Amino acid sequence: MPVLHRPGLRASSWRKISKLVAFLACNMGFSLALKTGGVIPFMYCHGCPLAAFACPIGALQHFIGLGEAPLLVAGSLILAFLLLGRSACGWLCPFGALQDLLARPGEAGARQDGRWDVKLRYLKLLILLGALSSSFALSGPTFCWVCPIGALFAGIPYLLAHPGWRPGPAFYIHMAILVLVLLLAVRIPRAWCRYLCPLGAISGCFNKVSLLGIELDEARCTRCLACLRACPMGLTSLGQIGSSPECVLCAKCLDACPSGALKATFRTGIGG
Amino acid sequence: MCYPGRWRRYLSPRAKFIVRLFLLLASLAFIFLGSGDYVLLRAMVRFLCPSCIGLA
Repeated sequence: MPVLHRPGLRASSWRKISKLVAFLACNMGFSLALKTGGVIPFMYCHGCPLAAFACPIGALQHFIGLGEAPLLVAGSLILAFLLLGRSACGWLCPFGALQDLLARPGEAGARQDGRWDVKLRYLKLLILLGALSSSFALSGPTFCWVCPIGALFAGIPYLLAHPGWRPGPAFYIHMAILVLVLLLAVRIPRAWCRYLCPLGAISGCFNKVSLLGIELDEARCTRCLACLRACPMGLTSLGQIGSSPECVLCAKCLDACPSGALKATFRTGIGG
Repeated sequence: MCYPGRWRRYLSPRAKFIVRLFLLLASLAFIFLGSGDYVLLRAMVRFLCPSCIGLA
């Protein structure tokens, strides 16, 4: 099983580079030829004037709204999540990166009150089911009508690119939702990813079987729990690292571990 | 932490392999069968404006 993490090569540096590259790649559609029909494994609105790829949730809703099976979108997502698990949230998603920037220093591993935190994490599943079923019922991308990521990456750039455009009430509703989500992210690290992201509800289910993962060497672990204190998703036990649907495989735990007991792995064999 | 307790149960290496193989084959079949959707997706990325998704 190849070990991806090497001593001296901090995951945080690679994470910053990958987030920047992903953001630039999403925005390379400055000519029609560069606007592809590819689906990315994280949410980025294809209503953005420079978008080069399709938002997976937007595309799923689009096909379901048309009454067609979203085969290409589903196949692309299953393949991406089988390989990467939920790591696109931790390493590529621009909205996740923004939330990481907004989180107050020292708040990274802040755990919320257990009872409502666990219950609220089911909310993203309900949002996913609600978005898909309402898209089918109303024949339109209903979640896009309230999506804060669309507001940030499509609404604001569109307004800047077209100064004469007079936004309607829907634009201000979008902005209000965006502000609320960002304020929540200041208080609770990665609040959107924890409680609200419908794509995270799908990708998290693949963490248990994804080829990319994080593994704990029990023999080297000193149980200092520095990994859990560094976790932006608020994981509460060592067993959840890498396999819980809530883990975004951001590898902040790898950087935090003083004994090098955690390592990123690509599980190529049958076992593991 | 999250999702039904069933998901937290231990999966044997063989079970994981079977699940992975099934997902791989399903994804490849979906991509093959849905390859015609690419044109529709590309058109959506090329011509969608924010008003189409309720931003205006």
